[in-house]
This record gives sequence, structure tokens and C-alpha cells, in this order.
Amino acid sequence: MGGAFLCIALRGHYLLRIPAWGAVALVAGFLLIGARAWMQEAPVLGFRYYGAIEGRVVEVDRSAGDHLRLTLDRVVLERTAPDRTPEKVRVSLHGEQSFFTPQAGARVILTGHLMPPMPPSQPGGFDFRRMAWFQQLGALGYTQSPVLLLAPPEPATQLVNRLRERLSAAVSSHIDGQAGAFASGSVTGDRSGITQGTVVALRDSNLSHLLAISGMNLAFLVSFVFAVLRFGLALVPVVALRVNTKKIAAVVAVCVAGFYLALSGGNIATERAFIMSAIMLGAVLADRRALSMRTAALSGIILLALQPEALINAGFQMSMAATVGLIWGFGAVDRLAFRQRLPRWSVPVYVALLSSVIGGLATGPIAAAQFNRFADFGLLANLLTVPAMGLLIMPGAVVATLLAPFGLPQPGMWMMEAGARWILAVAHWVAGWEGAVTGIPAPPPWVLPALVLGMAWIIVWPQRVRLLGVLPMAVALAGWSIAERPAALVAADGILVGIMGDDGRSLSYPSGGSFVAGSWLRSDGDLAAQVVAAARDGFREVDGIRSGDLDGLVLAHLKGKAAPDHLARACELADVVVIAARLAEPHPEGCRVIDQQELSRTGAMALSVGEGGLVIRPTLATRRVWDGADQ
Amino acid sequence: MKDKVSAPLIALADVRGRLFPLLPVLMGIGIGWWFSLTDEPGRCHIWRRP
Repeated sequence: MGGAFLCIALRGHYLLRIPAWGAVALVAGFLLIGARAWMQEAPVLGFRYYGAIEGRVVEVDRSAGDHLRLTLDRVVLERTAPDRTPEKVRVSLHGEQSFFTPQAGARVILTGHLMPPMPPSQPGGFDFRRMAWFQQLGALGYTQSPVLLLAPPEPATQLVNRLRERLSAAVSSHIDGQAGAFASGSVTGDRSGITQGTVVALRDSNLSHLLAISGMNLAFLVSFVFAVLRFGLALVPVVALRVNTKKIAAVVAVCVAGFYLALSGGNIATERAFIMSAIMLGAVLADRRALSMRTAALSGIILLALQPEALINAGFQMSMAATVGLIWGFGAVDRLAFRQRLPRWSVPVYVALLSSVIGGLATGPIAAAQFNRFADFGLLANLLTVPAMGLLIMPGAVVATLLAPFGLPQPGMWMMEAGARWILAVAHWVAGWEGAVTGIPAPPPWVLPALVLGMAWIIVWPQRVRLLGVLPMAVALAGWSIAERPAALVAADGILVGIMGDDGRSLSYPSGGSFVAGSWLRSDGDLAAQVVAAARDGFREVDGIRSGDLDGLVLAHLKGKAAPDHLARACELADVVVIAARLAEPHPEGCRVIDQQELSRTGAMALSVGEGGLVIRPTLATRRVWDGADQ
Repeated sequence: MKDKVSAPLIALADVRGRLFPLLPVLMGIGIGWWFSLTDEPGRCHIWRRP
């Protein structure tokens, strides 16, 4: 079918060519992601594992629990055949590990637990297993024992990762504390030194993008290098009169951007920014207009062709939305000729203000849908800190790198330190304000695509036709505002149950299943912690059995070693009993029992009361290659 | 009838220069279509107290 469309697009009647190209793009997207899923095939651990784990360190970062975390490849597991061993595993390092300094490329061994990537925590929820499949990440786990170094990095392997570590160590040795960790993280992408407190402050002030090596960081770097070279070479008459200094600056800037992409570890936003910078600087070389909607579209096509799974990545979505929004927004505002009427001194302020407003408007709905939170004072925090990134940190990094061979990295380090301290001070200050964050309930799955299509329509079409784009956006926002969250949720392993009440979701236990609890509460738009949600009215304990009301039915939850002993009594008290155990004998009559046997087939469940009974909505309909259990 | 079919096509041809940014959007729809097939929700069932 794709071939037929391609034939029409290339050779067909000229009136049919445009719709045919549209159909080719659509079919190409479908085929590319299918091919990618097939190409990324790698074993997924199908069982819980405890034992020796050996592998080569390819990434070092920090987990949400603030533990150092290693991603290993070339994995060897005890008693596990190579064809069942995952390509990559990720292990959090608990306990005392201070004697161990992780190095990319080093071969390590540890004793730890591994488990398959987690299934969705609720129907329609984020499927981590699918994301892990595209990264060939087949198991996750932790260790509480010391990590042992088996072999140092081999010469000439993992060069970029090791260079990143050395640069990061150099920055941290000159700049103390979290400012050093932030400066090295925002420049090199090494986030292993950044504590959870800093991550939360940056997130709650909408400044995480400064650390994510977003397109903005790369744009600042490329702009600085381009400007310094262009104006610097213009001061040398011998060069300026003989060669085109603009083109020399463009060539050097694209090389610097490529190096920075490799150094930063190449996340989606940085890749998008690199492709766009390369196209823009290529346009400078070809004497074409550098920044246009076509440049952004071309970078989108290249990135989706290379990594089609990026479409569902929040970094890709926000990066594209910000770029397209800035190009379109500045174009629209400039047509109104505001800038020409402004005094010259105020133009940088106007540009900073407008870009923060447009960037915030373009990325706000995506961030709210993906992260279920909105940083209320994010605009102010960005206005206060983005200039520090552009004027201090990125130029400081370039100055420090250029002067380091002469033993003079200090001036650049001072610039980076001043910028990093200012940004962190603003982040903590703004994040500490009352009402700094508002929880946003997760939208139905069709809402975000409808919003994006509406925005795309408005941007692409001319004049009045573009107003039609408001329609899907309005429907999407209305659908989002009236979306209802499930009345009750059951975790995929039966370890936690949550019932929605007037003051939010009440959880059956204050501990255990913290990842699932966090996911449910976030999706509810609820900022409370698990302990707080478990203390809400909803569940009560009678005879050691926790139960709550679900619209007229009684829902009981049993877990722990004694759970099967309480089942008969729970069945007398409740209509529905969720038990975190696999039951061998037949279930007692008179109540609906949901055990781990059933949950292993259905995944997490959403429960509600309707149509004269209990409506049970499972998560899993069909087994997928990334489920792992069948391997 | 022929005009009704060809008119939108002619309109599209007139603005073809503007339509390039729609290509990644359509690619995205194709990719999203594949993802939506893998996100097939489980079928609800109803339990009634005996």
C-alpha cells in the first residue's frame, strides 16, 4: 500500500501527489515503528532473579530514591543461559558503596536482585516495559552488597563516556556542592552527583529543562561559538577580507555541536537540537534562510525516522513544541512590528520575556499531561534563570575548556559557578512558595494527540482556515476537564488498593508498592505522599482486615503471610476481596476474590460499580513481546 | 461532481509550499496508530453478587 502511494506521489497526477505524499508519511510512520520494535528485540527477564550480576558500566545516574544507579551491558547472570540474559540491566546501589567509584567501561560484579520491567500501574497507564524494550533494557533491580571492580575500562572503549566523567570530575573539583553537580550536569549530562532535593526544586520551579541538556543549552553553546568566531575573525583583516568568516563560524559551530551531542549522552531533545542546528548552519553555508518551520519539520522527520519511539517521549514532544511555538510565535508577533517600536535597550528583555511566555504556553499542556503537574511560578523562574544559562554557564564552559590546557580554567569556572548558584537559589526559592505546584489529573489518551493536531493545523494553514484548529483543541480541553479517574485501583501484584474519596484517593497501606502509589496519585493530580493518602478516610481495619466502601460495595484488601488465613472472614465482611497471594484452593463463595493468579493474567485493574454489579477493567488485553513473562 | 472532488485537491496544490511541516505530523499519526494498537485495553466484565 505504501508503495502504491509512493508511486502516485512520484509519478501520479499532480493533483493527487500531495494527498499521496501525506499517505506515504502516514504509512512510513507505521512501518518504521514496527520495524524498530523488531530490530530492538532482546531478551526480557521472565522471572525474579537473585544472584551474581556481572556487566560493563555504560551509564551512571541516580534513581528516584536518590541512590547511585548503574546501567550494565554485556551482562552475565548466574544459572541463566545467554539467550535468556537481557542485553542491558539497570541496578540501584543501596547500602554502603562509598569505596566504589563507577567508571564507564569498567567491568563490575555484584550480588543483587533483578526483576522484569514493571507493567502499567493502571489501565491506560504508562507502559514502562514498552519503553524499556526500545532501550533493550531487560531487567531492573538493586543491590545491598558492595560492588566489586572486575576490570578497569579497556583502552579505546567508552571514550566519550570516560571523557564526560573526567570533565564532570574537573568541574566538581572546582565548584563545591550541588552548584558543581548542577554545572557539570547541565554541561556534560552527568547527573550522578545531583541529589533528589535539587531535582525536586528544579522540577517544581519548571527549570528541569536546564539540566536535561535541552535544545536551549545546545542553542546557547552554538550561538556563543558562532558569534565569537564570526565577530572575532572580523577583527582580523587578513582573514576577514579573504574568506567568508560567517561560513567558517558555521562549520566550527556545527563541529562543536556534534561534539557536545556525543558528550552529553545524546538524549532526544539534544539530538533534535543538534539536527536542527546542523540544518540551520547548513543553510548558512548554502546562503539560505536558517530558522524556519521547514527546518523544524525536517529535524522532526529525521528524528522520527531514526527513533520513531521518540514520539511518545516527553522530551521530544516538549522540545518540538517549544521550537515550533517559538518560530511561529516570533513570526506572528514580529508581523505586528512590536520589536521595531521598542527602544533598543529593551529588545533583549522583550526577546527573553516573549520566548519564556511562548515556550511556557507551547510546553505547558504537554508537561501537564505527561507529568500531571503544573509549576505555577515557572514563567518567573525561567525569566530569572535562563539568562544565567546563556550568559554564564555555557560561555563559562567554553572559556574553561579553551583555557584549561594553559592551566587557566578558573575564569570559566567562576562564570559557571556564579550561574549555577544563581539558578539553584532561584529554583529552591520559587519551589518553596505556597502553591508552587498544582496537580493536574491525567487526560484521556486521545486528548494530547487532539491538542497537537489542533496546534499543527493552526500553524500550517493560512488565514481563516486555521481557526478550525481551535475546534479539536477546545474539545480536547473540555474532555480533559471532565475526565473521571477510576473509583478503585488494584496493583498488578495485588500489593496495594486505592479507593477514590471526597478528599482524594485513599490507599490501603502506607508502605509497599511505593512506585504504584506514586503513579496513581500523580495520575489523580494529587500531590500527597503515600503515607498521607493511606491516612485518609476510606479504609478501616476490623479483625486485622482492611476494607473500604466502593459505591455501596465493601472492598477488602489482604496482604502479608497471614493473608490466606483471613480470606474466609474477609469474604464474610466484604463483597470484593483483593489478596496479595496466589491461591491454590478454590475461592470461597459469596464474594469476588481477586488474587495474584488472576492479576498475572489481567495486570492492574480499575474497579467501579455500575450496571448492577462490579465493573472490572483489566489492563492487559493481549500479550506483547515486551511483556517478558513468556520468554 | 468532478469539481467537488477536484476543488479540495486544487486548493491543496495551491498551498503545497506550506504543507511540508505536516509531513512529520502525519508520520507521527502513523507511529501513534501503531502504538494505539499495542495499547489495546482489556475488555471490561461485570461481576454480580450471587
